[in-house]
Amino acid sequence: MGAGTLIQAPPVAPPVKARALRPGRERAFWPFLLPALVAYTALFVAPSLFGFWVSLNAWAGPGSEMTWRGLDNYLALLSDDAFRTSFVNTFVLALAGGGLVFGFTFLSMMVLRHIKGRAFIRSVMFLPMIISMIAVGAAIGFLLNPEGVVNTALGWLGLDPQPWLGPDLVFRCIVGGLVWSSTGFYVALMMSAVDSIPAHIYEDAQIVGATRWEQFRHITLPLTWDVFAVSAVLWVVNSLKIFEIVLAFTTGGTPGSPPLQARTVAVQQYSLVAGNAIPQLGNAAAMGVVVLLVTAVLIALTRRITRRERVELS
Amino acid sequence: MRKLTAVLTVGALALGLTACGKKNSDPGTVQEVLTYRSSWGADEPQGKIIKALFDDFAKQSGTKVDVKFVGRKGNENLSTEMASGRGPDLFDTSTDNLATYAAQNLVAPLDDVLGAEVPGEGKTVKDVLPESVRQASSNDKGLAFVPHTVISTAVWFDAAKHPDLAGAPPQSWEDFIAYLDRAKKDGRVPIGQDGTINFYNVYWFYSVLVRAGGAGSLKALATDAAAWDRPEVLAAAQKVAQLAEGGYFQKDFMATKFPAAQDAWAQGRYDLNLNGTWLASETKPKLAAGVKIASFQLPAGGKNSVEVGTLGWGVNAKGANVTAAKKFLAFALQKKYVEQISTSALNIPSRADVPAPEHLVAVQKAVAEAAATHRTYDDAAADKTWWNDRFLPLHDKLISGKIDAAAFVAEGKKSTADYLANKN
Repeated sequence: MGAGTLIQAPPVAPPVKARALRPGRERAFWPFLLPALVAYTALFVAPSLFGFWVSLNAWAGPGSEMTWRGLDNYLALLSDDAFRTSFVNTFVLALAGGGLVFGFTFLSMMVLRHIKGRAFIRSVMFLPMIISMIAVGAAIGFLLNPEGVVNTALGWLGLDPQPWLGPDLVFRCIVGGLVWSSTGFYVALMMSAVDSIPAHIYEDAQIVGATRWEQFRHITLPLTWDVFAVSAVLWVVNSLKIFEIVLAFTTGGTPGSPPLQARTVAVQQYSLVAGNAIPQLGNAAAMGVVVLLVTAVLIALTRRITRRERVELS
Repeated sequence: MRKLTAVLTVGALALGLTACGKKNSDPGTVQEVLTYRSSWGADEPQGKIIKALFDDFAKQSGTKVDVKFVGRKGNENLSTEMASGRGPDLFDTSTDNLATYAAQNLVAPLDDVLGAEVPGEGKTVKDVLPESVRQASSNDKGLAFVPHTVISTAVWFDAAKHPDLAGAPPQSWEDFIAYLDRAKKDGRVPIGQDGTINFYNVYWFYSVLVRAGGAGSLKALATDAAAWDRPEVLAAAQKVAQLAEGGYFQKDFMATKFPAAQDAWAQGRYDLNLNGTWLASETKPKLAAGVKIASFQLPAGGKNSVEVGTLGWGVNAKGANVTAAKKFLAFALQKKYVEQISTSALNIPSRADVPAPEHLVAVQKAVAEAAATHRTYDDAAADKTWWNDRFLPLHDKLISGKIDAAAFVAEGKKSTADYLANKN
């Protein structure tokens, strides 16, 4: 726009002067963009392309020889039960975990809005997010072991103790742990959006007799939808990288491999690159590429599903 | 001015990048210093012993040493770093890592250290290390690391509470099962098992199979699908299935998070725990008063092979100070240092002429007198992908009673065949 004005500058002005008079925004474009562009290319784009290259090879890391494998690393993934299980687990975590996290978040948005001391409750809900998974791992033993606190409490209620951390239940426990540790973050995000909705809108709704659900459905949700769309993408990205919570619930503190039933792709990748084995960077990179592609698709889908006309308050 | 800013920015970035590159690729700055990065923690007994050892070495040889204790997690990328020429001169390693490091050509062959004299003792390194201990520390290029500690596996119990076991340990599998039945009948839990740790669960199948069949009998299952058809594999699986069906482990043992079961064993709540020689020192703070730890070898018949694994120091083949590192190794084997592995770290020392702590004397004796020995996990854990993704999950199904011995063998054979067909 500014440039348009300049083009119509007096014809007497020599071209050199016209260049000097370009608006500040345009002059600043390259000097401001360049450092970021260089850093981004060097630190992200180039390593990503290199990672893709590695995924087409067998490689144990710097200093060892790279052998061309073509698409063999990808084909090997297809026939690998451990990868298939971890892949399915990752998506179950993303979808089931996401459903629960946002279910609780929406519930909190309905309930927390008019409760006394809601700032305090919000802080308490946020707390699990900042507890290190190492501490959680230590606590899990006390709580969920066959003779732990949970089973003891079940005993008081006359219920049978459960093998929580056994191969059949541990994955469900991990989903539960994930929901417990992540919900507070999304509640904090969404509630900040809820807080910016003017109180008079709810007052009007109450006057016309809207129930709490109707208030949520017709006021809260539409006016916080933008934040929800961002939260959903954040969740998808984070849930595909789930790693340390699996170790916390299973083999944390030992060099062991978690049971197949509990592994995620990130855990599977980790076991290929670390832990005193010959690093199999090619296979691990192939897993990374597959997950990156699927993440991209999922994000696109999430964006599409959450796309709505923006509702703005006048 | 604008151009100047841009040039400066790009210049600064370029300099930054060059600086990074230089730091990573130039080993020149460490030429004069013997570097060691330990997988022990500084506060562990081994960490303290090793720190004092390096201090003495520095004082007496005039070599500068740079010792860092980073713990198990701090050394996870060690092999990658060493392969790229950036690792320390000396590093911690063990029998079960031999194959990994050998495959990457990371360890300097140490056969010349065998002939070196242990300072002040008139004996060579070879003289003070028993044959089985040297063998557990060697690859096909000779000695791969110099061991300070011997590790092995045994069935552990409290001799004060079970003098019968101490006096007459079970001599056959039937004896062993009879003991388990008696314990169960008397209302005790015979075996404590941290079932969420699959590499502890597999001690049962591994011990039964390899103690009877000798070295190579488990390793074969990883490299040849046909090896699963051998009758002794099915027989070993049947013994593990017998344990699962007999209900000898504590209730819901597969859901017990480490170290709850070994801690409860230390408290006297379970009779037995099949574990490594580190068990007593690991559970020391939890041991009930008056406990007298003792052990016996799991009776499996056949060759009666005894596990011999070692922990020690390897020399980085690409390190800057290979000569100084080798000199350190002979220095470190002096009796006064190796003794502390027994007295402070409560482990079996690598030198046969240094007695083990009391509770480990039986294992040290078993190792010394064994007609046949095998290495940690019979080297079958060397292929970590097969081990972690195929074998251990399958064994977990067997020991938890989800599948029977025949299904274990059939699935193992198929899974191994699939794995080998798709392997790089």
